[in-house]
Amino acid sequence: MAARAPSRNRRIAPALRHVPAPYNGPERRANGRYSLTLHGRGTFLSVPTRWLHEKEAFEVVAEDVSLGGMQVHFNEPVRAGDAVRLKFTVPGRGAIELDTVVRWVHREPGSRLADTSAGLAFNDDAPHKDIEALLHASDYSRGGASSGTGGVTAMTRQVNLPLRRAIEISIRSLRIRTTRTLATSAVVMFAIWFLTLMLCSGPVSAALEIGEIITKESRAQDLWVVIVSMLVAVVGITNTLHMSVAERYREIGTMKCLGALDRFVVELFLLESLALGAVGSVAGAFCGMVHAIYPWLTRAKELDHVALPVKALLENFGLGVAAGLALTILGSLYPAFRAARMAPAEAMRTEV
Amino acid sequence: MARKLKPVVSKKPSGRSEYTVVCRDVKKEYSLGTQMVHALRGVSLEIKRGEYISIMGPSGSGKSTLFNMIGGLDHPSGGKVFIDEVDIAQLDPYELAWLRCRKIGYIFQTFNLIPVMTALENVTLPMIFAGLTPDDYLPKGAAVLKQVGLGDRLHHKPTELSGGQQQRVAIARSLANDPAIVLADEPTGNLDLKTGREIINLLRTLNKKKGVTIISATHDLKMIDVSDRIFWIRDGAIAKVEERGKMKISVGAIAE
Ligand SMILES: Nc1ncnc2c1ncn2[C@@H]1O[C@H](COP(=O)(O)OP(=O)(O)OP(=O)(O)O)[C@@H](O)[C@H]1O
Ligand SMILES: [Mg+2]
Repeated sequence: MAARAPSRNRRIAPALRHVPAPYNGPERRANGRYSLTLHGRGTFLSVPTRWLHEKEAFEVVAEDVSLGGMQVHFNEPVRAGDAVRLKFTVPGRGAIELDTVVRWVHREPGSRLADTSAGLAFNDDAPHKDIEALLHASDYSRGGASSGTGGVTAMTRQVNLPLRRAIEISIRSLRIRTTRTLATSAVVMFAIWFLTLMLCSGPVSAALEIGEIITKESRAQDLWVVIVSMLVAVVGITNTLHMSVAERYREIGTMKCLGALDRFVVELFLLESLALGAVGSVAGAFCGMVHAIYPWLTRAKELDHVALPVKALLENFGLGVAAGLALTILGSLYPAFRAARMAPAEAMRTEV
Repeated sequence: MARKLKPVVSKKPSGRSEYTVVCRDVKKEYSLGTQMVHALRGVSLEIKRGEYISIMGPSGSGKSTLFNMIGGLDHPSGGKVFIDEVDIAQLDPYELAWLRCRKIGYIFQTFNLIPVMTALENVTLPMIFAGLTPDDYLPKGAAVLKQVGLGDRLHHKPTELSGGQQQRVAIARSLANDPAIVLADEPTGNLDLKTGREIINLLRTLNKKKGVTIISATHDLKMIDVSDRIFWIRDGAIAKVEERGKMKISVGAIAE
């Protein structure tokens, strides 16, 4: 794709100052670049290799413009050779429509579609005065005047599942799977109950046993009990969460068939487990803490000067909640991620 | 030189191939331990826009595997699949999701509805993925369900529906984003004779009225009556291609 020779009938208006746009890539253009940021709308005109219909408009951000063409940012899967009609609203001139052809497309390997930049060449029959108006717009936008934000009304394609929608879907799916939800959060609750009880009973008994001799062995035993309760929580919670995701592989595959990005799937499961884990962990940590305080309550009368180690208790409560949340999320993240990355056909036939 | 464009937006851009699905030597192997299963041994086919295609063959011949390849639901071990001249192996995850969301509608033998969602929620899910807002997707979802004859079952869960009704929900869902291609894997496999015929008629109507390309893997001989072409596959390869009513096809070509 050779750069186009500057056409004779396209002369820059003399009033326009030429401030070159900062550009470090290979120069493909014959005419000078003008920097600007213009938001507009594009539509594919003739799309020999694309699936989009001409009715579908998409957002375009023009970065710099010259007499021959412009560099734009797309959120679209464009290819060299696609014909695109651009529509910009330029301050002081209204809507401008220009037909262009995609000359090159650049996307860093592995980067998102939103980072696609493309070089669009104006068609030969694009009205010169319109191109000039765009160059003037570059003057405006450089001068700080608001850039034309014309008609970005109909973005027909989205990249993100709106968070509200995602939360709605997760909550609904938690509510409907009541038994499964209750069972899973009960597992989280009991595991965290046990863990918090073990964490908290240390400080409580230490407070109660002031003056009594604490042997080395009993300390070692306490630590051992905490480690065991930790292991119970890790194994119990991650396994339960793993099962609750794994039994929904078919559903994940189906969602991918309906156009869900891998990210959506992970997001949905993350939200679900977050809700589940929060309820289970807080309830469990609360029960565990109260449980640990119980001996202090019953012996409060005989030991009227023993204060509760409130700070240590709250710390361990927080530790219990944090452990519960972390384990719930980790336990669901791995299977959700694995399932989301499978090809849909594979996910749909995976039976657990 | 810049390519000249027609100033008027053309519905059918010139130079666009009449083939919407093209498979070139598509192969799929599964490894089961030391053994290799050749599910597809090099399938090449071309499907025109607006055709009604049936893929027939005995159990285990590779119909579902081919369905998955055409629909971009699995990776071929060899060969290429083109949808509207785009090699789908070249698509990034976002483009692939877009293809599955907008370009192709899928219907499965086992319906694959999301069990916890109502009919309407199932049908609107792809619209949510396509970025529609509730204002748009709720009426549209209801309209599509009405179109398949389930206007009075919007808020029923799949378990509260009969097999035929579930398959109708699945068809409605496949049509959610007005796909150009509907892929069906044994859509009548779990249905009785009469319900199966209704589903086939529904697909045929879609094909006729909206010009949707229908590709259906099936055992169901009732499908033969309505198909434009039938690919018979055996042991992972196309054994023969049958054209039903050659006359009708040539008339279609002249009319174009
Ligand atoms: N995931 C898999 N792992 C191993 N082999 C597989 C897998 N999926 C399919 N096969 C094999 O590939 C071949 C074709 O299977 P496919 O499901 O495509 O058949 P089919 O024509 O759809 O059969 P049916 O009419 O029974 O649905 C079979 O021999 C099958 O055993
Ligand atoms: Mg099959």
